[in-house]
Amino acid sequence: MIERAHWFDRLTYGALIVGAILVCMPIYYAVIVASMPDGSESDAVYLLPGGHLFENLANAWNKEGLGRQLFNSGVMAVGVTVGKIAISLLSAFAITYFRFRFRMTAFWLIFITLMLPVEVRIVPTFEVAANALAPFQAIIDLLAIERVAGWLAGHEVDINLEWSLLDSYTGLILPLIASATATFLFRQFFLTVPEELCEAAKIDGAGPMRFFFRILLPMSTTSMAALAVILFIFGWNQYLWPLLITTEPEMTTVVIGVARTLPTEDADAQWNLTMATAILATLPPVAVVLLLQRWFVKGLVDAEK
Amino acid sequence: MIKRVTFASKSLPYLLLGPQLLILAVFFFWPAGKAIYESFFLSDPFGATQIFVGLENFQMLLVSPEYYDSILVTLVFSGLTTLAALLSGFVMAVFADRAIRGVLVFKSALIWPYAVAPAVAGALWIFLFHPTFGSVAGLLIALGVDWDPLLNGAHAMTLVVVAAAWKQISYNFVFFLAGLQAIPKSLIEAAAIDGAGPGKRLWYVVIPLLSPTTFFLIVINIVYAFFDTFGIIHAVTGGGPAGATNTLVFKVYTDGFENQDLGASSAQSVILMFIVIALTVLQFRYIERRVSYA
Amino acid sequence: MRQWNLGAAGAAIVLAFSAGATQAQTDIQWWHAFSPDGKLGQTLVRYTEEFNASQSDYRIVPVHKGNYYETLNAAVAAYRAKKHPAIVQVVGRGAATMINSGAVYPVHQLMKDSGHDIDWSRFIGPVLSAFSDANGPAAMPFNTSTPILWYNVDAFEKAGVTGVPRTWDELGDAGRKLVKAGYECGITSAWQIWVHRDNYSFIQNQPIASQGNGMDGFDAEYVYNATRFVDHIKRVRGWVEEGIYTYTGRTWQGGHEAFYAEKCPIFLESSAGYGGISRNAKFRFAASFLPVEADNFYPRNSFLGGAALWVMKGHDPAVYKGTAAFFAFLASPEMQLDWHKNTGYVPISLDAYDLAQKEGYYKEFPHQEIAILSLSRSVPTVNTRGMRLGFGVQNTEILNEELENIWAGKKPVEKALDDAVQRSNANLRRFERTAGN
Repeated sequence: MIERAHWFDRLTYGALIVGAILVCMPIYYAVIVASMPDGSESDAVYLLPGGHLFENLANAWNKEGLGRQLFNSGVMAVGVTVGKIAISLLSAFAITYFRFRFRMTAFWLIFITLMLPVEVRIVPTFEVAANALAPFQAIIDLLAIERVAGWLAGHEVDINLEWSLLDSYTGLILPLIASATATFLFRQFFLTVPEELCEAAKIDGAGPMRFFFRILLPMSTTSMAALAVILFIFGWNQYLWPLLITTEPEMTTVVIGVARTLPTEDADAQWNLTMATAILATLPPVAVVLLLQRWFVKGLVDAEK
Repeated sequence: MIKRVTFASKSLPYLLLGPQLLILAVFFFWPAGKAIYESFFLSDPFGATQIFVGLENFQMLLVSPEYYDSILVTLVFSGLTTLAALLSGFVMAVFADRAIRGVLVFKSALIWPYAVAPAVAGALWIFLFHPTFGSVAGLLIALGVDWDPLLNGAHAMTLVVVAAAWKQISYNFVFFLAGLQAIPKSLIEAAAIDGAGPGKRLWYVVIPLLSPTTFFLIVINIVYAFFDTFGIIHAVTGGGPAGATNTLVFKVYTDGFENQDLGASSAQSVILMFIVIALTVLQFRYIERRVSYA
Repeated sequence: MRQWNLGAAGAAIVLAFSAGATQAQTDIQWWHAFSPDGKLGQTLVRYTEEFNASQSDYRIVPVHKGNYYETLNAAVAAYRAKKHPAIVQVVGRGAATMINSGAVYPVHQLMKDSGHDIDWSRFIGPVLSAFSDANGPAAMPFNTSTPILWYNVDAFEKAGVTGVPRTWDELGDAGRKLVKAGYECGITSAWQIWVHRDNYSFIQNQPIASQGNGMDGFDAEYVYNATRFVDHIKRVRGWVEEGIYTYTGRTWQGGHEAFYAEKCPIFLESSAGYGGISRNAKFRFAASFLPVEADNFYPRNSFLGGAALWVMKGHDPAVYKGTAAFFAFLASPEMQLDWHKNTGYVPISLDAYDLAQKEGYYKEFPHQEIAILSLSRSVPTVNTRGMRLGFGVQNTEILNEELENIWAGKKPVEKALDDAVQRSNANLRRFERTAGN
């Protein structure tokens, strides 16, 4: 078709190879460190692996609780992914395909949450997780509903709303679903969907939900796959939040497991084991990416469909 | 922005938005509201004493030269990180789009940095670039570079920018590549027949058609650089030397999390919220005008 | 009064019975910062297992909550939501915050209330006083260390350094010789504020802040920009320029690697660095006291580092009985000696120290004794009882920043230290308003 000049091909592949080498260099280095025997000097420059990779990986794998941690991370990552995609699809649909009074308000309410990660509002978020019904309790207290209810019931009533999310998968997942990235992406995608499709659906007498499920959703699979990758990794790599809200060892996630092998005050790290653990912890998200890649080869913002 | 063709329903949009808004209300707005509330108080971490101080927490920030330094650091850091991550992702996507063989291998190789947890990524970069024991640092010094991110602010900034951009390259690459592959080949061929060379085609055909993707990525990358990089900064430079890599979010984190000064860190969060709201409005109002959807 | 509980997920309205089920065994949570993957964490877990096996009324449940700051924050967040543990390990600099928090059950009170009669005079004075309120120790010292001078014996021989440097100027001479002999970085230090400001000032009996470094009142102000510390920093700045002192970062990792790699044969670092040094050093190493000034014939006690165990309010009496029993168990000379041997932290009681001496432990590991001797070298003065200054972490960061400016040659020493004091004092004034109310 277009230019197939020899030099241009060479440039293309040359650039790709150089780029890949630069980008992968730190990863390669992690593998090298993970392949070193115990007690090897960390400041020396190694170019080739040291032959202890599988031994170290096996040691990392056999550490207490790693399997369970991987499982928990998996549940958390899948939960965040599915939850976020579900609620975001619905709200992006509402924002792009309906005219209603508070449309812009809703839009901005959602987009403000693009910022302020959990880490910078951690104490109040923890309070909510300790009792997810606390906001409603506060409203009840504010409105003096207890007194009203007490008056109605004829005796004193004490309403205590409590729903603790600590040490639960719900607690690991729900607070992380509250953000706008996914809604934003779906909005971007819906805006590129040809208007004719909706017109045609309307002419055929299809209602909004029918249009959503029959036409919009199947078209969105590539976006969903791309998002699933992002969200899965986002959920998988969470550190501070799971650390704070879990105390049971059975609820720990694998990133915490990796962090435990990093050096802390007065405690050196065994770097080969740290990197081996890190590699094991990174394999599942990489596998997910590779699996899902097939679906978004055709493109995220696919104007031709 | 809204579709030209829309559905008419009074209650349905609210129902659709319901789950999202409910979760946001409980897990975002309520805690964020509490943060705003805290920003008017001076309190001890365990909540025993709370003194209403009005705007003092804000005042304290706005008269401190360190805070302005931090704003500047944030702008430089976010600007450079976004630019570096977007450009390198774009360039590699353009080449990968041309390549026929090996793209899958290439993509599989590129995706790793994105999957690495920030704490581990930070440890890795330290491993490579710490002036006393980093392997690459050793090479640099052997080559005569006076590499010292522990005392040289520019070196430290370079290091955190590269580390932060590194994690984001594959993300941008994947989206750009997807966007590029979605561009109808017929359009490009038409331009080629009209005599446009690769450079011109890129500039006049490809880049405009990519604008929705680019817009999305700009927003995501700025948000990333602003908010999701403090794990890396924490591990790589700790905000040093002498505040050279102390970004606003990192400062919120250290003041609130390590120093337990809830009032000061809440006030910073509030200022951040306003900055980002302003940024978002700017992006949607002005930049998005130049985006052509379908 | 009737209590209604609206169950989760909008289930039914459930009548709540406040009387909890009686449990045969009381669980006591202990949140700590020692990774279970490391030796410190493993030793800690072993102690809880031994205690749990020794009786059947209580079960100590150790929970690793990340590093010191993550642990403290987890405790703060949990306390505000009333889900906090009974015991939490808090880094030394957090003492001012903890003592004034109103969230703490002082340990002296806890031990008395639970019928444990503890002779606090048998504990190492400067260690206890750092965590004491007016009536006694408010927290249980747990992991205690102090900086000492680690050196590479092989390098000393090669460079012709005879004898261990006793004074700071001798240290400089040694560094000069070492660099001349090809050891590129000479002298380095971990935790520069702890070594150069805190411990220099303690050993030289110089105040860091007024009001006995904050122990006597919240209106304390930093004064270290007007003590001999300024001259000390000028000297170190001279060393940096000369190339015989290398800055390896704010924490410890860079210094350790430089010491292991035989680049810096002199390393000012915590006594607790022993674990890593003994595992990684491929040369003969030894330790001595931190240097003093040449005119200082009565070096004072050094300043401790590490963390203590704090007991939090709001639990059942049974929990506190168990906590007290556990603390008594931890404080026993045998446990303290075990801790000392396994971790390089110092034992907190004189009885444990006596036991170690009787066993002849220090003949084999002389450097393990340096820290204890250093911490108990004199009767503490008003300048060396301890330090209780609010926003300790932030003020440390501020001084780190200014020291970096000094090492990089961006600011003159006086100016940088004046700036640090000024910025830190503003923080102290802020802290004063919430403390002690």
